[in-house]
Amino acid sequence: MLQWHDLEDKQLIKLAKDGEAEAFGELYERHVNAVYRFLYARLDNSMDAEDFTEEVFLRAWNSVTNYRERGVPFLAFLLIIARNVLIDHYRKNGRSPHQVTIEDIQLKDTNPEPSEITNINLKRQEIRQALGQLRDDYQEVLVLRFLNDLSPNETAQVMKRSTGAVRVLQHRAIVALRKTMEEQHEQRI
Amino acid sequence: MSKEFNEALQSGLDLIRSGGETIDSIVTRYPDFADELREQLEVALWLSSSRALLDPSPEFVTSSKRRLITKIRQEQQATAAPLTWGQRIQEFFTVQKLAPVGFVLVLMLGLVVSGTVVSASQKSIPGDNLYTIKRTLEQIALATSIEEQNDAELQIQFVENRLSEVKALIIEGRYDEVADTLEDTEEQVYDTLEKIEVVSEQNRFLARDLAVQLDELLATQRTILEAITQNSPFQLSFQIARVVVVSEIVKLTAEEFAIFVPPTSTPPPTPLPTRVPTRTPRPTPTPAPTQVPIQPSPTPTNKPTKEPVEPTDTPVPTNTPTTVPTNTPTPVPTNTPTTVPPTNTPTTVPTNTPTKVPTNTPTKVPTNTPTDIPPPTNTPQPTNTPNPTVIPTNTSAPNFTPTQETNSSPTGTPLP
Repeated sequence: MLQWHDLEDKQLIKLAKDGEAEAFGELYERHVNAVYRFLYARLDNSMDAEDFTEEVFLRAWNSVTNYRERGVPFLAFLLIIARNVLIDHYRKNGRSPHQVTIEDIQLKDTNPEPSEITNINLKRQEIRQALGQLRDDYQEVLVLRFLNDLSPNETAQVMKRSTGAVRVLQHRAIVALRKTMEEQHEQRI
Repeated sequence: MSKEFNEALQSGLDLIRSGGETIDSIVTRYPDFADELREQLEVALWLSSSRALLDPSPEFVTSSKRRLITKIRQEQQATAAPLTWGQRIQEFFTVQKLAPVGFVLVLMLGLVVSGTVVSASQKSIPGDNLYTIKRTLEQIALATSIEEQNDAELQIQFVENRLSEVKALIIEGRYDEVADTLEDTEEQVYDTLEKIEVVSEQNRFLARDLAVQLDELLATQRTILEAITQNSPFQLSFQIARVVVVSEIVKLTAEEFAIFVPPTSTPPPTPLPTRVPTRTPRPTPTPAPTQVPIQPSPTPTNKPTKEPVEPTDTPVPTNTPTTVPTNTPTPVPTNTPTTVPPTNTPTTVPTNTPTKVPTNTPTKVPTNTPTDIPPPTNTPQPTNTPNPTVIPTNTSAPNFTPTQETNSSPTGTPLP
């Protein structure tokens, strides 16, 4: 029997356009992590990331009839919406630098051992702090390219820049991130 | 940063992730930028490996998916709820984005429906459902008409409509409505007379034409009405008599206009000669008319001396030469022959004959100038134009030729 996960994105999108909610649920399951990562890496807390993730998918559902593939993968389409949601959020509340909240240190997974949990949380804190020190466009390009694994071309579509500009931005962002991490490391010592 | 470097970074990341290579093995392949490539690979891989740290919790994903599907279904149910017609139409035009097409369709439908209703209403008679529309359209036509002349013409048309309705109602035996319609007819005629008076303040020639036109219309109907009186219920005879009376008033008015606004003296001189030659080369036979004035000129000058009033019309002789050439092609011929006889009776005949003669022929000429004029292909008769030339000896003769000519000429004069 054919299952939802047997279908490709393209087929699921067609079904979603026809009003099939379960097909859209399958799309949600496939791409929710990428959307959440994109948001969480650039927000102060996971609560906002979760709320905005749901909003992104609701907006996507409402505009899925307007979606035409034309070289833009569905994930890029979702991330463009996520970027707009973030922009709206920044406009309303202003942009504030990342702050490591208590949730970064709290347990999220009950299965690992306490030592592992601590290690995971430290790493998460480290990466969020490091990204939080960077410019917005640096954060954006790094998250899209290396956390979400988008190609330079797809990243360019989401960021609405040329592929060449994305490559340059990516190079500078990596340099800036490395420098920030070294500074953090020196501070710890 | 070169393109080569970017390609090295991208392929390096792919190879390392697939497990086939290490950072060291990759860097050795690119000795030119080994150090920089290593730094970039280390950071990129560190980020990639940290991906899972930023993933949402599985609980959130499950619960969030459930909430999302529930919301979507709620929205679908809300939109699937029965809509009002207005909402359906709105949705059709907005969702389908067919607003422009829809607008055109609605407009066309409206035009078709309204056109059908309007044309159907024109055939309606009092008591019909569409009759109100017919009368409303008449009022709209009057309200939107700009010039007094057009108003008067419309009023005459409405009089004709009322009379037609009377006949139709009598044929159908709907005598109750006949009385009301006759009353309407009477009012309509009075309204038309008032309008003609207004027009006469601006253009007496035009007013005269309109009066003659109205008189003609009523004259033809008068006999029918009189016949109806004999066969219709007694109570209608009073209303019919009132219409007959008002038609008599119209007749008198038309005669007054014919007397006081007769000569073609003032209007034609300049405009007509200019027109005729430009339109048809035939009028050039004007040489013929030029002969005419020579003969008449002596005689008219003699008669005016007899009557004090007519000398004012002395310009007539001067006109005959000018006007004849202009109208010689069409109207003059038809009229002149008829008017010839009255020339024997100087004063009385003119008043009687002019009215009768014109009512039969001239009115058709002006109104249907383009179509009716040609029929007077009887013009061959007029070729007896030499006759009229002789006639001018009587001042009354010019009176006719002008009046009929002016029927066409005054309408022409305002145009230039």
